[in-house]
Amino acid sequence: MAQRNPLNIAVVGHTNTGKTSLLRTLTRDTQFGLVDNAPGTTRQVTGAAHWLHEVIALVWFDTPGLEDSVALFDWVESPEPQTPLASHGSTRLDGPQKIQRFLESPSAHHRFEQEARVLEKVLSSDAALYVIDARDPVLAKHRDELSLLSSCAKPVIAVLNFTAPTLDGRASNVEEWLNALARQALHVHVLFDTVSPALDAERDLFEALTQVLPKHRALFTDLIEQTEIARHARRTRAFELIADMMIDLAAWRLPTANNGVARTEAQHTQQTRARTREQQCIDGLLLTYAFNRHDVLNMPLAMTDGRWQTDLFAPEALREVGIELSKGAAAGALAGAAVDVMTGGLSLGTGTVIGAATGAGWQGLERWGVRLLGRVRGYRELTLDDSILKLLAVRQLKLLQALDRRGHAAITPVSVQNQHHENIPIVPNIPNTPNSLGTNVTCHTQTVIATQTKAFSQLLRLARQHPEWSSLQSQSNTSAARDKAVAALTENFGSNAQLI
Amino acid sequence: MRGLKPYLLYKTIEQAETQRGWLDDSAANLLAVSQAKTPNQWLLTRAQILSDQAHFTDPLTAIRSTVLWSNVTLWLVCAVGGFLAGLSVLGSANTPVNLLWVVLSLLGIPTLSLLIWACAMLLGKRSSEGGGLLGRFVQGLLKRFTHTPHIELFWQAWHQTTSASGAQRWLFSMLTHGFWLVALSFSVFSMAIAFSVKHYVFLWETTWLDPQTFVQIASFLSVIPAKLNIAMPDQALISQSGNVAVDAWQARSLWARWLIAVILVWGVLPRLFFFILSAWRWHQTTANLTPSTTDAYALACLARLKRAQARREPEAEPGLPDTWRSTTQAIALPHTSLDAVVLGIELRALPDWAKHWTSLGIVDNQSSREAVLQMLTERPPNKLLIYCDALQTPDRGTLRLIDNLQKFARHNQVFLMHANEGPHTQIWQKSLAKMGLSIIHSSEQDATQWLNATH
Repeated sequence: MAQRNPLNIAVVGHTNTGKTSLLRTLTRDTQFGLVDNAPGTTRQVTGAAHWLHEVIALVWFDTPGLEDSVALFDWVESPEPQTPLASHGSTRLDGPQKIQRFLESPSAHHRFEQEARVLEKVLSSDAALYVIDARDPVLAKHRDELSLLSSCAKPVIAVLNFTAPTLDGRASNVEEWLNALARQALHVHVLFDTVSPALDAERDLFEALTQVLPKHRALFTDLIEQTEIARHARRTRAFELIADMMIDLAAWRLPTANNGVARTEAQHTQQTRARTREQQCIDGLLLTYAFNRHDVLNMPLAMTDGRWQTDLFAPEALREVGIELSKGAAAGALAGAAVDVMTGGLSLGTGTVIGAATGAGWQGLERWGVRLLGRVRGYRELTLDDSILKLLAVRQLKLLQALDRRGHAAITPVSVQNQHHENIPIVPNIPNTPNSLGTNVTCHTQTVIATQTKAFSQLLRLARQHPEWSSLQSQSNTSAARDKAVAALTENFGSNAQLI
Repeated sequence: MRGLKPYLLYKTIEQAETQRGWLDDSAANLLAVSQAKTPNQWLLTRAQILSDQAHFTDPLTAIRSTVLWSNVTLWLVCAVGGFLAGLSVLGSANTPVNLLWVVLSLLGIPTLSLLIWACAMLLGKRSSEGGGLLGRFVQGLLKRFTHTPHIELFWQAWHQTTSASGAQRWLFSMLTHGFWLVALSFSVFSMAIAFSVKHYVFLWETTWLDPQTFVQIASFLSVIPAKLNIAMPDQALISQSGNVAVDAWQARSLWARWLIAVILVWGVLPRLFFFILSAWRWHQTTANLTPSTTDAYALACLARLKRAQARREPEAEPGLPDTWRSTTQAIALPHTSLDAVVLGIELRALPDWAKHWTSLGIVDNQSSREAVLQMLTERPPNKLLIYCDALQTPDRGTLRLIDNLQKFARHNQVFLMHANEGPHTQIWQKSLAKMGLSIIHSSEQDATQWLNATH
């Protein structure tokens, strides 16, 4: 492992502005450091490696928050040396010398111990990110923090956090901040909401770093490229996982005797297994995006502990995403299930039957035999209704959308209870509250579009004709034809991805 | 570490983790990064360790040996079948052996299937379905006759591994060529035995073909064996053998050799060639199997591995939290003192109603801090109401300032603006309680009452 002198970037800022959160999002590590909505959560300097392929290209340093900058700046700027300073002589000290003088003083170990750690790190770093809670007003203490940083004579980039609308509805003061930063001669800034960063926030950050560290342009270009390749890979994988689930569930046919009791039982089985399959897909998506079930996601549909709050077969689930239940399913007693007469494979098209018989060998024949027998006995088959399939796709695409836009800075859901917002689900529901119907509609149409294409319905229809493709039907469901269908569905999601 | 087995385990772990979440991999990650050098190797080593942990390795070994033994069984069946076929085409020694008939019986179906295979290979992808067929057959057998756990994971892993790399078609080519090779070799073997210990005479028969046709066919089939220096019947002998067998040692031995040579050259050798070719291709495709480091699963794994390798500990012990002295001290107030004084900390403005009392304004930067402290020193108040904004995080600097300010007044209260809005109210309460300060929660009435009250 070559480790050619990685760049060191100190992440500094006032206390509780989300420095650790920024690092979690940048390193896609929900476990990094401690995050809490309280001052002084981070009390130590901790590095987080950022890799460019096999090399640690830079190290972000999480630092404790600056909390007492007004007094510290006064100390640093005071003309009277607070410690005997033979070495510095009596000449006027420049910024870094003043900071150095402070670091060598006893105060650096007592009252300003936290601040000393921060400034020491900044002095030894190549650049610093100054993280700002953009909802805060610009105060004297912030200005003093900026002055202290500029005394360190290192390039500083302002990172404005919490620029997206949040649960407590506090508006951000971005303009005010930019003004204040300009007055401190700080012109390079990035808007980077650590909870739901913009899609190109990371690119913006690296571009800003390029501006202040032009020597390392090539490195940052590579980092941007790497970020984008990884992002593309994650999306492709996610689409694949969703497509795989869709094929599994669309192809699935559950035989049942033609009487009420048996049918209810079969429907129960159908619903349980469909839910399990959906959960499997969710877990796969979370894993691909390096989230855990307990990570809070910001999205219009409610999710708790990695599970959708609304049951797959509950009528409101469809309403939530704006799908109308198809007539057949709505009329029948079996919600979400379509009932077919078991045809013994005859209605599935001769090609399929031959395919099943030859392609699947004696197993295919065996299955065909079972189906013929079922036909003789007058069995019925349960399949999942089209609307349920669509719902499955939409929900998972929405999850993907949320994951794609979500930073790895987890918010503890506790604050919701504190504020007595019992009606607000654990997942902040901001852009999609029941009142804001406008956003609601656009949000839905974007994801539904991917499921409204002709190709999507055609692929599902094709899957319905291939029960052997379903992992719920048989364990040996893999085949080149199935792979092709999954790839086509993945492609279909992918080509509509820019709409998401 | 490379090749099929490590890769298969990697794919199995990938399936397992994608479907069931991360396995407990912290130890495995550390071990993997310490043992292996490149990211590919990290991934394979990690999978190997996790497979051992999750008991995937043993079932896989069991499956491999089951597959191996079923292959051996099939080879035995082919050997016996080929042996019997060789004997049965020769028939009893009482009747002459019909040469063309024997050649057709032994080489007809193998040649036809070879041509079909070649076409399928040339046409491309469809042949992987054939692999799927045999694969499914094997899996069906395994499911029936073994109780292998995780079979579905292995199956998916196997399918992904072999169909994508094209290894599947070469494996199944190798197997089918192997079966034919064994069968045909044993036919030749059985014929050689029969020719050694029994007396056969050979002829060719036709009802309506021109006798010359057989001469041409026989000569054509003899071309390659002749080049291999095997004595072949000449045209005269071929012509003589039509419809009536020539029972001379020379003729018998020439024809027996011709028959064996033709089966060897046209049946065994092509199969041997393709067997070796397929085996070589299979070996080549599987020997170099190595995980891609650019797909999303690999990226997620690598992130965990890299984290395990470069997990950084905090650079020093955490500092001690600040301590506050609770001050409810009796302050001797000079006669110049004020009764009730209000001031705000880090606010934009004090609310209008607060201006009914003596206001020291807003304290934020160093000069305002000094000015306020100066004023308080000169005229310490009886009551001091400190306005704070609960939307802001109570930091050490602010708390220290409040602690400093409260020393000047006999009675102190903190008025928390936005106490019911921000998420920080509880932290304010906790921090101020440590200083022994009480709080008014955004209530103008409470504040007015306190300021008006005589203490």
